[in-house]
Amino acid sequence: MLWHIRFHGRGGEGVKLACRIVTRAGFIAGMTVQDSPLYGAERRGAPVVAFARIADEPILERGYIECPDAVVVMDASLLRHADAGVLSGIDAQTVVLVNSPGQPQEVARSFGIVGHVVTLDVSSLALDVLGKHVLSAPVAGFVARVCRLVPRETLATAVRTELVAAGIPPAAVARNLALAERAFAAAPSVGLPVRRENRCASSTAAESPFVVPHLPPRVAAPTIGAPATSALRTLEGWRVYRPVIERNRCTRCLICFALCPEGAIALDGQNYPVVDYAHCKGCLVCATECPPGAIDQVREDAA
Amino acid sequence: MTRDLLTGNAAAAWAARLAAVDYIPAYPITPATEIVETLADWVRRGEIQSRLVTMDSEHSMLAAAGAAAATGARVFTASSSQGLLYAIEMLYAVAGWRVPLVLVNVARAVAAPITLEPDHNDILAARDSGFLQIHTASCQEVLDSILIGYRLAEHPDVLLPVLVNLDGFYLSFSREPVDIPDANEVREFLPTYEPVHARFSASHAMAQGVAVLGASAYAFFKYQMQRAAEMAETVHETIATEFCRRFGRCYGSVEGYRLDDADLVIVMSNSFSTIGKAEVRRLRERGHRVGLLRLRIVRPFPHKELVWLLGGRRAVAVIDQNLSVGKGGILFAEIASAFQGRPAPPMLSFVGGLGGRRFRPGEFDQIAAAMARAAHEGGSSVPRLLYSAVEYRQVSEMLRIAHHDVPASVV
Repeated sequence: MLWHIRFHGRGGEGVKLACRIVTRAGFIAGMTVQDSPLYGAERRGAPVVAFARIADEPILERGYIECPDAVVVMDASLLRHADAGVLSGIDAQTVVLVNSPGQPQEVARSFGIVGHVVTLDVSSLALDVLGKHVLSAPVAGFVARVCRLVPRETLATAVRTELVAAGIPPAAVARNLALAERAFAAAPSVGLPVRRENRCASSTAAESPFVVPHLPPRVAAPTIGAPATSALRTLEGWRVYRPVIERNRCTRCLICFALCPEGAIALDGQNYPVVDYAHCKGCLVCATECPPGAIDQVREDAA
Repeated sequence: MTRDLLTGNAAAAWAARLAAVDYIPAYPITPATEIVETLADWVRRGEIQSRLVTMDSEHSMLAAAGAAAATGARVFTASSSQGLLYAIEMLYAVAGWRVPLVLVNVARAVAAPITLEPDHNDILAARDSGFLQIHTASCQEVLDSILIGYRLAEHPDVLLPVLVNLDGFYLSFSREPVDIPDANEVREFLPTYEPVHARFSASHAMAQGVAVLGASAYAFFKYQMQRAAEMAETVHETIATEFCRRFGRCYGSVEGYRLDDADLVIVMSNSFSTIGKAEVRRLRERGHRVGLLRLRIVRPFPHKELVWLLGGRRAVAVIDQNLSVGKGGILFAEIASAFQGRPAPPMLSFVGGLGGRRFRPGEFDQIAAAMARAAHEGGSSVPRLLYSAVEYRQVSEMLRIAHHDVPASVV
């Protein structure tokens, strides 16, 4: 058997480390494993994907997992953005683990998820125990239990091994251990689908060959034929928190307007700053620099 | 021996550690940076005694690496993509100095346009430099090939530097179980470098890398590199045999998979060959007699071995993860040339995995079908890009956003 688990989250939430703890647990349990993260230009808050392969046979696969047996949604806000590809390649048997306080049926319905949805409010557990939104250890606990990968003791060893290797101080390792075990205990045991073959194996769904045509250089070179096309690339999917300007506290000093690195703050007719949420990437430079503290930070989940 | 989960980058760092390298000139570039970061961390903790120096460019880095190797130090360094290309001038110089060192390249496609994922136009741009080249397919092989690489580079009959290639992302950031041999066992296989030719010693004055003007002298010294590279083939065989005996892992200049009774053979290199093996297994289940040959050592080029293993097959398809613009796949051309004067099987040239492009469903079936046709109709040197209508539509959409129209007739 070869199981494929795909993790989706945001930079800074511990996506890569959660994936590493899960494969480490499989490795300790004597299974063959492989893990890899995928990210482009690294930035906190940007979508990050990581892949775990766990098997009782040699793994003759590498790279992107197109057809996962389980998808781990560490940040439910990503489900709103098709670009993130969170639900790509899933079918009715795919186990979809969502970090959410909602009921599974309700989450499945509101996001149109066809797979077997399991939910756990991992964020609240993490905020409760660690006081910050770092989800690597509890998500690993969530996955280990739901996918029936390893017993609790093996998970604990894996958490300790990976966190120590990542240079986490002993006190924080202990808190994360307790947190992982809480998530493990709170999650249901579901198991992963047993399939005969990787659904995305190339021989199972043939496409016909395609010959790339010769096109004129204006089109064939990486050029942009008109100004302002970057406005079409929206960035709202990058945010964990959004800045909300409280007009009654704003002094119109224009510091936020001047410092916004994306030029995503405009001025209205009375010179009050207005955030363009389609292009605000959620860096919160404005909120940090605002002299009267007139910019609130609101979690996207709650916005 | 310890068995642990290591990325390809960490495996490379471990190999440098086990080789007890003296000197590491460093300059960062994604996706190779983790290698020198790992080594720098060990230096900081006092776990290794190497001297690590950050340089101002890859060009200086290679100059420093070559100069240090000329004094008799064991030298390790790493780069990737644009970084390797920036160092190319010094690669030729260092190889011409005839000093041994191991340089790791973490393959990444070369700009423009820019990307972070792998193909082999970077490492193959260095193919004529005089560096020997080992291309790896797993994290374990990264570690092992660097250790073998030092023995090869330092062998008195060779004395050429070695480039070890590993694919960015697919190996560099992927963790797999890796056997880390004990330092003592490695020391027996790879003792401290005692240079006979290139060394720095006040009591034995010598000059290295001296200026030579005049074609006769140039041609003589240049061709000595060719002679040394030819020697490297048998030297590698001897070293790999010893490595196999000591550590139980055996490497040749090529690796065969389901090759013995194969009528049709797919040739690949590096980490994507792992995926190729799974596809071969799948094609076998459907009754196709297909095998895979992975080219591991690209310099010296294993002509004889390739002719031996590919000759007499019904058809051969080479999947090049590179593009020589105006020619096609680089390895296809090299493999085809090996059959000069001998009967060659019908051969097909495919270009796949450019910029890390993933194989699409059905592509290996298409390749197998094309090979079966070629067995009757003959081969072709015309390169075929592995590409799909789905991708073309996606790119067309990007072009539309960039205010360009793509002919609808081809979409």
